[in-house]
Formats: sequence, C-alpha cells, structure tokens
Amino acid sequence: MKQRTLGLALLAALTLQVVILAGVFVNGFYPLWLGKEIRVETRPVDPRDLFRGNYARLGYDFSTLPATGFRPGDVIYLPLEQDGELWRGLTPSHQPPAQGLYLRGRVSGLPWGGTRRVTYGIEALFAPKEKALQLERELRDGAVAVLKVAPNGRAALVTVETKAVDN
Amino acid sequence: MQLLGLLRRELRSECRQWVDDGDISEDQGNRILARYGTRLDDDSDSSLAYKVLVAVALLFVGMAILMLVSANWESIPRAVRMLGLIATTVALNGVGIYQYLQRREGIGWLFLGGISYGASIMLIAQIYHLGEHFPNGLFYWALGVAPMAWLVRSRVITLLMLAVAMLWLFAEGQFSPPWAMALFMAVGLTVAVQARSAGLMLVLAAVAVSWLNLLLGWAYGYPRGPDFEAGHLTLNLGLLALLYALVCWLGSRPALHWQRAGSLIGLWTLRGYLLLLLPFTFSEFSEGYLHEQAGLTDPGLWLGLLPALLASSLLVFRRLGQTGGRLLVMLLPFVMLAIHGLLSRDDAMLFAVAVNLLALLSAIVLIQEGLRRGLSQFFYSGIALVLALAVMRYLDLFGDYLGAAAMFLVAAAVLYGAARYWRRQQRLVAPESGEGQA
Repeated sequence: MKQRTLGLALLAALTLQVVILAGVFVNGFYPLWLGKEIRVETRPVDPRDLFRGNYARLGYDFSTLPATGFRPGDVIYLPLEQDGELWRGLTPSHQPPAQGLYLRGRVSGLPWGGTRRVTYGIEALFAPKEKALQLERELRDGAVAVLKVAPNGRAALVTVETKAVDN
Repeated sequence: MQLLGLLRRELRSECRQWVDDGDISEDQGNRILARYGTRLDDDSDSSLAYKVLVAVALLFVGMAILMLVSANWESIPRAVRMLGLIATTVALNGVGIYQYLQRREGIGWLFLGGISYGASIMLIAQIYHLGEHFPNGLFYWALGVAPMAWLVRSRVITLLMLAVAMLWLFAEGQFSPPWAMALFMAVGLTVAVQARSAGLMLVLAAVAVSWLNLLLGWAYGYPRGPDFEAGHLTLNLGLLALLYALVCWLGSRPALHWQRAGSLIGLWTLRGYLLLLLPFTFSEFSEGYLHEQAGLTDPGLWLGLLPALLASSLLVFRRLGQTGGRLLVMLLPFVMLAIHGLLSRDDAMLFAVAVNLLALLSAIVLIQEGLRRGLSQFFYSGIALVLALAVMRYLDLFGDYLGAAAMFLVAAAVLYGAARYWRRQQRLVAPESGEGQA
C-alpha cells in the first residue's frame, strides 16, 4: 500500500473510532434532549461493574416478565400509563404501540423459573463506591427514578429520588 | 514437525556458545541455524525482551486508564469528561499513526489508543447510565480496533481485538448467534498471514473452534439460547481432523514460518485429540454420549462431517501426512456416521473398548514416532497417555478385574516393546557414529 493511501486509511480507521464513540454518545444523550420526563417507582440493588466502575443497580416492577413468548435477545415494547404522579408499565409486546409513551427494552435472561429479565438501559446509576452505597441505603425503602423517554421508546435515567421526597 | 523451530531463541543462544567455545565455526553455526529460519547475528532476542517489557508496561497503563474510568469523576462536568477521553483516544492514535507512517513504529501508541478507545465507550455508558445490552459495547470496541490492526499488521493490536471479540462472543452468544465473529477472524487471519505469526494462527484456531461450538449450541437451542449436547463432541472430532490436515499442509510448505505455525498448531491439536479421547475410555461417559446423541439427524454430526470430509480430501488429493494419520482421518467420516446411525447406549461397552484400543494404539504410535524421529514431545505424550490409561482403568476397574488386568498387561507390553525398540535403535546408531569418529 502506498504511503499516502496508508496514511488516509489509518486516518479513516481513527475516524471510524470517533464516529462509533459519537454514535454511542448520541444514543445515550438524545433521550435526555428529546425525551418526555416521567417518574417511575424503582428499587436499588448493588453490584459492581468490573469494567465500568461502581453503580447502584435499579430494579423496576416491569423488569421481569412472563417467559412465555419472549426469549433472550428479543426487543420488546412496554406501553406506559400515568397513575397520579408516577407512571407504570402495562403488558409488553413485540411491536411498538400505535400511540402513547412506551419503553423499548431487551430480554436479557432467565433470572428465576417462569420469568425473564428485561433491560431498558435505565438500570444502572453510576456513582463512586461510597455514594453508590449511600444511595443504596437511602433508597432501600423505595425510590423514584426520573427518566426521559424519547418518542421511539429509548429511555435515559436522569436521577433517582427518595420516595418520601417525591410523595 | 519442526518442533525445534519453536525454540529459535534458545537455539541461537546455544549455537553462539558453541561458536565461542570453538566447537563449531561461525559458518557452521549459521548453517545449523538456517535450518530453523534464524542466524547467529539475529538480534531479535534483545528486541523481544524490550517488546515484551514495553507491552506489559503499556498493558498496565491501559489498566490504569480503565481504573480512572471506573473511579467516576463526579466533580468534572460530563461534557469535559467525555471530550477529554475522546481527545486522549485521538491523541494516542494520532501519535501512533504519525510514528508508523514516519518510521514504521508507534505500535505501542496505537495499542494504548485501542484501550483508551474501549475505555471511552465504557465512560460514555457510565456518564449516561447506559445499561441496556452491554455486549454491544464490546462489539463496538472490537469493531473500532479491527481496521487499525489490519492496516498496521500488528500482532499485539490483533490480539487485543481478538480478546475483546472473544468477550463479546461469550456475552452476545447468550442472546443470539454471534455471526459477526467471522469478521474479526478474517481480520485476524489476514494479519497472521501478513505478519507470519505462528502464535496468532494458533489463537485463531482456538477462536474458530470456540465460535463453531457456540454456533452448534444455537443450532440445538434455537430460539431459546445455546444448548450444549453430545453432538458437540462429534463436531470437535471433525474439527480435530481438519486441524490435523491443516498442520500437514502447513508442514509441507517451503516457508519456515508456515512450518513453525504447523508445529505449534500440531502440538495443541495432539493435546486436544488426547483430551477428547480420554473421557470416551470410560464406559459411563460413552454410554451417556451414545444415549444423548440424536442419531443421523443430529446437527453435530453434519457440522462435524463437513470438516472431516474436507480434511480427508485435503490429505488424499495433496498426499499429505503420515499413512496412519491419513487413514484415521479418512475413516473418521464413516466412524462418525456409524456412531450416530448404528450405535445406541447398549453398545457403550463395545464402544469404550474400541476407544481404549484406539488410545493404546495412539500411545504406541506416539512413542514409536517420538523415538524414530527424536521428538521428545511425541515420546512423552505417548508415555503419559499409557500411564493415564493405566491409572484410569485402575480407578474404574474397566470390564471388571480381568479386563483391567488385561489392559495393564497390554500397557506393560507396549512400554517393554518401546524400550526394546529404543535399545535396538541405539545399537544400530552407535557403530555408525563410531565409524564416523574414526
């Protein structure tokens, strides 16, 4: 390969990395920019991500679903319904609902018999170890996750509040 | 097999010592080393040590970057954090590209840039609390590193790409068949060929075997997820045959680097063959296998037949390999069909006896070849196989006491025969050497 061609190809390879990083950023950021803010009930749990540092892992009522009809890797759509100040999930399906707000998630496994876990990209609240542990203690009795949900169902976690403050 | 070729560094060191001591001339030393693709003034010893130390140091720097990412920089604004890491990635890769274009150096910078790029993906996920389907992050990491590895033909960057791709393979493999692994393997193969790397070829063989096993798991478990069944053993038999044919083909190539690759893959293929054979010598294991395999409709059979037939064709049409090995590979497709089509769990004892005899025969061939060709790896593998068989048969009392006693007697006969053969060979060689010296 000629020196000039090689130089251009290497620059293109570097550009590809930057484009992928930009894509990951846009994918994470645009629900925050375009999304509608909603509040849903959540429960914190506490693993540590080997690659991405400490975080409080959040569970939702709609984080599990009956195993029937869904398999790991499936993309599902969860219609949302407002119930007072909070929102709750309805019955998930393989197709996005024709109208209304919904979450786009992916079936990720079989945590226990008869149910499957679904992730929506709103399960991890990253924080330093001490803060993550403090959050876990504070939110143990119930918490409210503030989300931004884009029109296509992609959601981003904005913050987590104690339920007492919210109510 | 050019096993000594895998120890070129040690050979150079020994040869230099012989030249320094006056045992051989410099010209003779160079002629000896030329057989293994090296020479006395090859200074890659020192550069290898330098490269290994720098690679480890860079790996630690990369790990430090990962730790920094993991530390959650709460006090720094999100945008600054993100742009900082992207700028670091661009800068590290930029320096690497500049040095590569100027002096064909800078691989270390590009390696570090690859790690920084992966860390950036994780940081962005962290900043925006992205948690959905984490295998995608690993995929994008490997995807971004692949063109760089391909363009600079770097073994270390290719290994980074393959390591991340393997993590992705196992993570994504739980959700869907990881077809895209073919892309990373193609890049790895291109670099291995261009960089003439035997080590990379071996890694690629291992990656390909893992990938095919996972795909077969999906063939069994679709659409639920991968299942691991008895047919996987049949597939791996076929893959071993193909690897054997590949080893023979590489060994027949004139270029020494191909022969070295063949030797290295051959060593691990031999180990894989022995490891695969040993469990089947237990009648309970054989019974389980024959019970679980799904007859002629088993996907493992058909996916295993493909490489086995390919291996047979390669060996026959190109006249490769030793007669015994070639015969074994040519028989394998029929054996696989017979196992799946004719045998049931009731034939487990017969099957286990046949495998025990095959293992014994393999041990005899290994010991014989080891002695005949002076290959200690073969000789000791054969001895280890005989001893392993003896210990296992002592533990599970194969075919009751009389059966075990018969096995021990046969093993003793093999070892005694090997010893006699060895002594006879030594006596034949000794007079010739004596004449030479006189």
